[in-house]
Amino acid sequence: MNDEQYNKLIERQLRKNEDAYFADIERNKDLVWNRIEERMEKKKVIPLWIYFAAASVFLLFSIEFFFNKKIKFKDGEIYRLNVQIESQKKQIAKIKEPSYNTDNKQITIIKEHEQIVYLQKQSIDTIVLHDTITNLVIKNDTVFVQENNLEEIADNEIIKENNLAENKVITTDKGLPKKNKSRRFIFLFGKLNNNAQELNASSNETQSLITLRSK
Amino acid sequence: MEEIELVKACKRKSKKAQKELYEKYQEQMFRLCYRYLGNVHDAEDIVVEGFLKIFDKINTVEYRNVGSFINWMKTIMINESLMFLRKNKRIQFIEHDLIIEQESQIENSMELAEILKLLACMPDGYRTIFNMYIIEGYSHNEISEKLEINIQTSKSQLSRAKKYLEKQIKELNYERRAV
Repeated sequence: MNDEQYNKLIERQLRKNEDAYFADIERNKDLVWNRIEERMEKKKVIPLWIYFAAASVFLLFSIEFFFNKKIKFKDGEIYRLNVQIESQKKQIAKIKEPSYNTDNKQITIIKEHEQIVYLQKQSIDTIVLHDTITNLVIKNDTVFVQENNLEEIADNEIIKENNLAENKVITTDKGLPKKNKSRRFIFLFGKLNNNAQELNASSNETQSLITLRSK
Repeated sequence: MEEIELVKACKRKSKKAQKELYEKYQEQMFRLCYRYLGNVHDAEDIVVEGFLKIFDKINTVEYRNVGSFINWMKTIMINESLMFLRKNKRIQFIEHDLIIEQESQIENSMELAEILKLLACMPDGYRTIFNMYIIEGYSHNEISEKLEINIQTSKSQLSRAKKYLEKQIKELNYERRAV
């Protein structure tokens, strides 16, 4: 018997009388079907843990959604605050930025001197010579205005033409820009109620009585 | 119910149709599984698994004719059986370099029950290939693909299975004569 014949024989033998051998299968038929049915039912019934898992997932997503909302809200707030901070920073920078306005002003101060000059008495009559000396003072004011506190800083500078030896330096005022101020110095020699008679009495003497009046 | 109607009803998940299908093919499928597993309990288990799979996948199969549908069911059962054998590490194929191509002698008068008994006693590796090649008609190429072995292994396993069966038959006949 060759290989093919052998194969055919076995197959034929197996297929011929199988029913006889598997007669007892019939008895187990229903039992096997019950097992199949049971397994199918088990498949249909959703186990409890799936519900729990689903609920957990749902809860997780809800929490995530809630926190996402919160995060978004907070992000918005942070953004708004950042914008505010930026604008305030800009304002601060603006304030800190030095800003000067230079204004040059020329003030002309005219100083008048009134001087009484004593002359030696050469004649009987005392000659009183009234002389008015005018002194030109140019005053340059540099005014710095700082914007942050709106203070005005005035710095006065006085340029003086020192024409006369007798002229005094005019003081510098560091207050607000000054208005033109005219000063008048009057040098009076002798008594206030000066008259010729009195002068005559002491004609040989030079009396140094000086009264300074200022306007 | 005609088979095509039966399949359609099974696709609709009709319990009645499922039971009818089971009753119609249960024996055939059981025999098939038994040949692979050589054990009634294992065969029953595989029948259960196989039918569950059939009912589950029936929507994917396109009914052409009776033969094609049965073949589809058989393939499921065979695959389940092979999976079972693999899972339980019952199949062990030993590489044999020599394929014995000798003429076999077998008694024609042998009872089927006896042959089945001998088949059941066969080592799982031999039995699987014996079943697939001789009974199901798979080629060595197909067997090698299905079992992930090389063709030479399949051929040598079949040869060994035949030798084994022959030896067993001879012993059986000898015992019978002695009695």
